[in-house]
Amino acid sequence: MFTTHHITKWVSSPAGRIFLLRDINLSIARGEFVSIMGPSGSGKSTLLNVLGMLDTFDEGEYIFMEQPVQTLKERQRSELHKHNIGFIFQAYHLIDELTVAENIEAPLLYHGTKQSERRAAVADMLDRFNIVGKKDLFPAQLSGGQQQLVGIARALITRPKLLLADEPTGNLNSKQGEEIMQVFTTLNKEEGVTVIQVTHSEKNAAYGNRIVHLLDGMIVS
Amino acid sequence: MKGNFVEKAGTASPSPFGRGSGRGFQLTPIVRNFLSVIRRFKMATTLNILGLSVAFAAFMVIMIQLDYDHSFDKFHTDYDKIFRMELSQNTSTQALICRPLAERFFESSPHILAGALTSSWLQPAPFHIEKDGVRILYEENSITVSPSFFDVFTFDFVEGVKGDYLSPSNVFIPLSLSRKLFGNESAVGKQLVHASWGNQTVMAVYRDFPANSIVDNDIYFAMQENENRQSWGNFNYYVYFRVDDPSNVPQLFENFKRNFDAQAAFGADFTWEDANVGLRFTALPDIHYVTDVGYDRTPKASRQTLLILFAIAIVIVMIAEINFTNFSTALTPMRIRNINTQKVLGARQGAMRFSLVLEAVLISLLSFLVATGLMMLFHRTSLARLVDADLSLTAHPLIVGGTAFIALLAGLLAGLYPAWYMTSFVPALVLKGNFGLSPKGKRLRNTLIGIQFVSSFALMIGVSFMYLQNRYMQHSPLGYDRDELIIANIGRIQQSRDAFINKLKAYSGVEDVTHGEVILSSSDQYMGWGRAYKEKHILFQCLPVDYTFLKVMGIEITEGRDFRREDALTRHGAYVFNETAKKKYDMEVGTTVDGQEEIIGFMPDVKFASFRTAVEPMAFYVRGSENWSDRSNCAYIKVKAGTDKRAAMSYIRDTLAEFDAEYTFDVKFFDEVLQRLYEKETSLGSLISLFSLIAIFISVTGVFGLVVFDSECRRKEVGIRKVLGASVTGIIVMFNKTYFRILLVCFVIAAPLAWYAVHNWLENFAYKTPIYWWVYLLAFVAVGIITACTVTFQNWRVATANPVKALKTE
Repeated sequence: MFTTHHITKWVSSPAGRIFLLRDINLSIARGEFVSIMGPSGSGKSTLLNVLGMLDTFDEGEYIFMEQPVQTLKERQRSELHKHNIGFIFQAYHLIDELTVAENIEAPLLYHGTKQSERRAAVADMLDRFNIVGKKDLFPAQLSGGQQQLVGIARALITRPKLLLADEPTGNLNSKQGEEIMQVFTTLNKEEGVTVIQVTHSEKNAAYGNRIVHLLDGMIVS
Repeated sequence: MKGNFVEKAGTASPSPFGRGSGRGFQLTPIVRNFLSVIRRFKMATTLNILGLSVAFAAFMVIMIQLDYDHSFDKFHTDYDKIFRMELSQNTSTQALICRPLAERFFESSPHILAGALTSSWLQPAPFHIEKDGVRILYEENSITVSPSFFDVFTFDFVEGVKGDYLSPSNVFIPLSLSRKLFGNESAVGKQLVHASWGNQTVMAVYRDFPANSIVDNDIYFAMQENENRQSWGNFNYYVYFRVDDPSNVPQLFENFKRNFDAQAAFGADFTWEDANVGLRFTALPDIHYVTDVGYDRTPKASRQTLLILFAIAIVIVMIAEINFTNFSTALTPMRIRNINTQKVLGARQGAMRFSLVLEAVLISLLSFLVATGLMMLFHRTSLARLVDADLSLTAHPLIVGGTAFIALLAGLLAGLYPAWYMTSFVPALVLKGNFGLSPKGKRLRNTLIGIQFVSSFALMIGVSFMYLQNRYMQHSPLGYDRDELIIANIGRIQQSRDAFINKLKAYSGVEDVTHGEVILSSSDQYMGWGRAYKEKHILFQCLPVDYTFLKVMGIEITEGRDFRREDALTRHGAYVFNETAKKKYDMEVGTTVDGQEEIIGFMPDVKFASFRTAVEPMAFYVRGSENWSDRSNCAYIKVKAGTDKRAAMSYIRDTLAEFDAEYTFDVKFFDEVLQRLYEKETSLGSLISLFSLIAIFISVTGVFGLVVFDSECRRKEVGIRKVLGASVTGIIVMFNKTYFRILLVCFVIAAPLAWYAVHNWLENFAYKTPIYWWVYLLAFVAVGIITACTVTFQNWRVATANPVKALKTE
């Protein structure tokens, strides 16, 4: 799927550079389910954002599907990200003004998908996550677990090859969390989607087939 | 109680309104809160105060002008019992009356308590006074009145009394002039030495009238006792009279007809009905608004204009008020957390609402104070000349006080909704975060923005057409050559007219010179002549000119011939009529008017009067040898194309000075004549444009402010959309789309409104500029561009920001 070589990211401060990521060498193959763990401030989310091309890095190489990300132009990077990566957040980040169906549909608008196809794809997703009855509700009217399901549906609607999840169960109770993990496992096993999740929970991390431990911006194991 | 709450909130938690609550700080808690709000929301507060203060200042200026016009002549004692006498014939009415008719009329009814005549123009009176053996020269306006003038209008005499009969060689002067001439000394008994009338003794000094009156603060001369006393043909006087009760006025004319021997005055076969002549009486306060009266030189205002200005004043305050409310509600998401923190800490809802409302009121009152400052500034700029009234604040306590009251109300109104709204949430819900913009509040704000867009469109379209009409009137072809034309009044050197003209013609820059009795396009109408033609009574406007006039002015002859030198040598003179007259009266070349004055030709309908009136039957006339005195005193000097017009002008002035070095001649470019003719429209236009611009400016501030808040609130949404793959362009387009939808709806509402208003206004003119569709398009594009720039500029930062940052803030 992708390989990183010596990725390093820092911010400058009067006291010198503060390293957010240091010398990250990571290679992830297609179809893997990886959990990133580490204490608060260890750089988990930063790493995820860099991998998801939402954030830049200062040194190193990032080869995503044979393309060197650091040399790409903004537009090309955006295309690469748009077509291959889905994002899921701890705080769901649904758009408050849009209904469930509209939220799920949103990414397709930026893919230039035709309206009929969009409608079919949304119906598909609603069906798959059992939220057909909720399609006209607004995010504020849903429970946290339901909101996260919508978030996942939205991430998957573009059929990404890589799913990045930043503490997807952080705001959920354990039962809801388990459901989400089941969804991830199914996706990974049955559809071959590569999943990378950031998590605090050993139990959730165990769903993956590989765990990366981060400390002070470095991979420790 | 209220203070108690704020204090509690303030000391328990320094967070609610941020900093500023240092220990030992002795400001009252409310003021402290207020100051920290200003500090925290600097931009919102600045925009609010800016918009509101400009609006209040504009409101006051307009109100003062409206008050000036509204109270015009209403401060006179018995103003409702004073009337002006006018003479109407056929469809036209004139303010000038002959003396015997006026005096017969005064005698005709016991209801008329006093009647007076004034001369028809203000004369500049050149005079000098002697002070310590030194002559000091002055020139002041003077007017000649019959002594009873002071019985009709009540003067407040500072020195002397009205009983001091104003007789020839006596004058009454205003207090301002007395001060100017004699300082604090008593003026009574002092001599003014008039350049041609000799010694005049000051008999009385009267207190100056306010500027908004037809009674001017002039030097009053007494009318000669027998001046034109029996001249039934000399319509030279304005006539005013005072009655015991205004309800008797409608009967005065009937009563006069019964008691007046009209046949003795106007001829044996005269009847009022056949001549279609009548008397009309206009109440003193209405004179200011009456515009259909010929020879009426009193300052005019149109009720319609005042209405437009009043509407604009209301719109301006409304727009500013809408901005204010919008800002207050838009701030809700940013403030709500603090407010609810206070609530959790135990603040009472009522007390919090009170302090929020108070905050709005304080901002509004502060804006009012800034507005008074702006007024004082405005007072000093040249823009103040657009307003007739005195703009000093102390002169208008009622308007200034009233505006302060409106400011108070505006504050209350703008504060109430957000105060109620912000405090209405269950604190737990809001503290949990995830507080979006409520759809209801959004709809309200969009509606309010909509009102601003609608008024911006309407004002922009209205002002554009006002400009176009002005341009149309000043630049449309008139039917004669108006370029390179200089007009000089040479009445002073009439005996040397030919010598003067020959001297000018010798100058290389001058192409030709002609002269006439009046200046073309300087008035709505000219001398009206009633004559007999083919046994019918005809009426036309007559402009006596020199025989060279048409040739020099480039007016073509469509039938017959141009004037010749010989025409001036005939006994009765000759006419060239316009097409309208020809058609209306079925005229032919070679026939005569009144059986003696020959019609020698016809010309097209040149625009000899203003564009306000349609072209009427009209003739240029070369007087014959038997006609009255030659009063052809307006020289029309045509300068060669390409000549330096300024140089030509100074040559003309120099030449005039050779003939009379003392007198300052009135010499002007013809364009100035047109400008003066349309002064009313121009100054009205600038006034309305100025205030419309202010309204549009305030609207734009409002849109700007809201866009800022909107983009702040949607920061997170933008972040999400970018993560989902939206491009910067896509996001900018998305924001613009929202506003353009509102813009489009507003345009659809505003366009017909503006069309209706413009259409109605143009009805005032006989010649109208077409209602161009592109003006509408232009207004839409202009407002669209302003909005798009604001939206794009404001959202650029948000759209290009790293989405990670926007998503982190939870």
